[in-house]
Formats: sequence, C-alpha cells, structure tokens
Amino acid sequence: MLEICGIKAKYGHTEVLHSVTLRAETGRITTLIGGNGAGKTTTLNCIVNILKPYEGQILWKGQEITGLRSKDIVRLGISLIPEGRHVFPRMTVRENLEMGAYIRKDANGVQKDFEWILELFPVLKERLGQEAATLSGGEQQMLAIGRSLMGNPDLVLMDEPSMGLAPIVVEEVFSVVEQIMAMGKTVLLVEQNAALALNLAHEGYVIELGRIVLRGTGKELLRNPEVEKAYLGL
Amino acid sequence: MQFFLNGLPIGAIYSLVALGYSLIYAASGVLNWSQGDMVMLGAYVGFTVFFFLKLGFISALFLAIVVVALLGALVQYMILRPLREREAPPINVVIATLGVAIICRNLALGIWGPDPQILPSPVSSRPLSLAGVSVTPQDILVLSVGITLMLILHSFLKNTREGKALRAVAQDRYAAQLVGIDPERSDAVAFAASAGIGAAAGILIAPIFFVTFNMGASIGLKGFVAAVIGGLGTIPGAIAGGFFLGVVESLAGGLISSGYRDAITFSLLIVVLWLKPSGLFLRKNRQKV
Repeated sequence: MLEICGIKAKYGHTEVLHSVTLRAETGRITTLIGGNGAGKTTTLNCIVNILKPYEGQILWKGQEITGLRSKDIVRLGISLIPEGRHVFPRMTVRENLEMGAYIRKDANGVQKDFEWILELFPVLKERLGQEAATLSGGEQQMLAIGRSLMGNPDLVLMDEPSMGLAPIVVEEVFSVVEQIMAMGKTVLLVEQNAALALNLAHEGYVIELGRIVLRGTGKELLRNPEVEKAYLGL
Repeated sequence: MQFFLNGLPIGAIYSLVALGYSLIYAASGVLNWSQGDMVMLGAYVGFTVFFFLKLGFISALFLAIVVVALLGALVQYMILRPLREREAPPINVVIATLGVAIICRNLALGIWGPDPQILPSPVSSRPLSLAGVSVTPQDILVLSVGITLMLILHSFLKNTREGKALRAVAQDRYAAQLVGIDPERSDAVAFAASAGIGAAAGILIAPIFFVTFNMGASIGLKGFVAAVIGGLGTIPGAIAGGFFLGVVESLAGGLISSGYRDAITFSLLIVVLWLKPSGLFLRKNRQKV
C-alpha cells in the first residue's frame, strides 16, 4: 500500500501542492482526477522524488520513502509511466523494453516478462527493430507501459495514458490497466478523462489547485453532482 | 589529393576530441572546456610512462587512457555533481570546467615544466610512396588507432549496460531516471570515456607536435569546432566534423596559405552557424548518441 500524508511541494518559489493525502490500496486501482494544473503530475513526480516534497511523508509498504533517490525508489518496485510517454526516441522498441529491466538481475524473469509483454501488445512485436520515434502515439503509449512492466513493479503510477489517443486505442490501453491490476499490482492512475478513470477505479480522489477536495469509491464519485458538473461535462 | 590525405590523420585526432565534447554534451548538456587538457594530460602521462617507467608505446597508450579516464570521472563526481546538487545554473557548470582546464594546465606546468617535450614515434615517420601519393607509417598508426577507438566507443554504446544507460540519459534524462538509471553515474561514464578518448588523441599526436602544458587550448578549440560543424551532441557528426575539419585545414594550408589556416577554420565555423546550425552532416532527425 502507498500512503501519501500531507505532502507539500513547490516549483521555485511557487507552492503547487498545498496538502495532498491519499492512499493506493494493494491490488486495486486508485485514480486521481482533476483539471489542468491541479497538481496531478506533480503528485506523481513527488512519489518518485523527481520533485522533492518539502513537507509531508510518503510511505510504501509501511516504509518511509520520502527523499530517497529516484533510482532507489524504482528499485523498491515503484514505476511511473510518465505523461507524454517519454520513450527513448532513438532506441529500438527492443532496446526500450530492455532499458525497462535495467534494475533487474534475474535474466530468466526478464525474458519471461519480455514475452508476456509482447503478447499483451502484439503490435510491439512487429516493431521490435524499429526506433521508438517512428511509432504512432498509441504504440508509444503501449511501449511506455511495456517498458514500465519490464521492471516488474508492484506499484504502477500512470500519468494520463489516454492523452492524445484515438478512442479505440484508449480502450485498448485501459483494458491493459485492468490486466495489470489482475496480476496483483497496485495502480495509481492520473487522468483528465474522469469518466473513464472513475469507471475503472475502485477508489478515486479529486484534486483542485494542489488540494485533495473529494474522495470516494469510483461509483460514488461518478454520481457526485460536483464531480458531474466539473469533470464529467453533464 | 596529397593535401586531402594529409588532412586525414589530424582529422582523426579532431574527431576523437570532438567525440569527447559531444558525448558529454549529449549526456549532461554541459560543454566541457577541459576536454583539450585531457589531451594534454594524456600526452604527458604517456610521455612519463614511456621515459620514466620505460614501458612501450602500447602500454603508454593504455595507461594514459586509464589514468585520464579516471580523472575525467573524478571531475564529474567531485566538481560538477556538487554544483548540480546545489542547483547551479548550467552556465556555472560550464565555467567550472574552464576552471578545471586552468588547474590542469598549471599542474602540468608544475610537474613537467615549461619546456616542450616530444614522444618518439613507435613507427618511422619517413614517407612511403603509395600509388603516387606519400603517407608516413605514423599517419597510418594515427588513423588506425583512431578508427579502432571509434569502433570500440560505438560498440560500448550499443552493447553494454553502461553504454545503453548513457544513451538513455542522453535521449531522455527524465525517463532514464524512471527506469532506475542514476544520471550522475552516466555523466561520469561520459566524462571518463571522453577523457580517455582525449588522452588517446594526446598520445597519438605527441610524436608529431610538441607536448606543452598549454597545448590543450588549441587542440581543444579545434575539436570543439569540429563537433559544432558536425552537429554538437551527435556521435556520427563529431566523427565526420573532425575529418572534415582536418581535410579543410590541410587543403587551406596547402592551396591558400598555412598562415591563415586558423582564420579559415573559424570562418568556416561561422558560415556553418549561419547556414546550418544543427551541423553539416545531419539527417533531418537529430541523431543523438
């Protein structure tokens, strides 16, 4: 389980997270929804300490990880699939997947995950020798997910996986999110597409201007009139 | 034709130095102004190994690469990393490398003295005539060692764990952190590789040019020009830029005037910056490390 307790963070002198507290339960999908600039991506970047929160605590499996170096947090089984995919553009699909397993020493396990990920995303199999920059947006998103899974993480943080993708590709990506959860992994999903995310998630949080303003199960939030008005466009 | 050929060995040297600039620039975004001084230190370490330890040319080459590569990694870990951890602006990091350059020069002056030294070549420098043009065995040595080093670097970047991590950092530093790579470590690898390659360049030119404590200034600048002409931050660009510059210098020196060689070189740099600032030899997509 991931627990974030009252973290605050700033960019330069501007405080962007005023107090964020949330929990992502083991083996479940938790979602964090909110508008542009509300602090969703910042929250994820704090978890992996790309941005260091200056107050508050982050606990993973009961152990405090606040302030640990990113490379060590990754080694504790936390993987962030970043907004905008961030595949290695001039590496082949195969090399990108290999880089995902950079922290692993178990060659057999890596090989097994590699085969499993190619089954999950057959389109990547056809493109193994191609440079990632030549892939379509949807393919790059699948590669970013595949690369993350190659590290065999226990907690997957997903930042806007649906962004800029055609609806049919979004469906494919989200079905993978469910499969990831079905493997016992914990998922924290950040989305602007609130309807999609809340339908999928067990638990949801709403963030506004750097503060968590609502929490509830996915179903509850879907029916919440404020959420409907602000995020579901009803 | 003769001038063209004459330009190739010195071109190989420029390529090696340019590779040093581009590797570090691609990995960490830093212009390392001590690159030329790694060449100088390589030459002096080789000189010391040769004359005082009385070992052969190959050992001198090998030891110079190792010693200077370690020094390069040390520069990154001891000087540049602390700066970045204090969130120093990039220009300060670049200025610090200039400081490293001056320190190296001064130390070299103190250790090896102000007199120019020369390292005897392991092969003859008497020209051989081949199909109407003349080449010296020394030229062939420089070219073959230079190209071998480029191939080793290529294979390192393509096939090793550290090499791939370095490419990942160069292509997307943020994503590299997300897969668990320590970018500071990759920077150190880039500094070590650059310094090692520079040291090799130093040994290779030591039998041709005098070894002096301030030789790094001019060779460093030439290597930098080569890197920019080829497209800073790119490996093929650095190699092509180095050979191109070597040949242009040789042609300019031979056909126009050797006195104006540097003026011609830097005019060329300015023309490239005007017309094709991303480098002469790049395809449309920027090919980073």
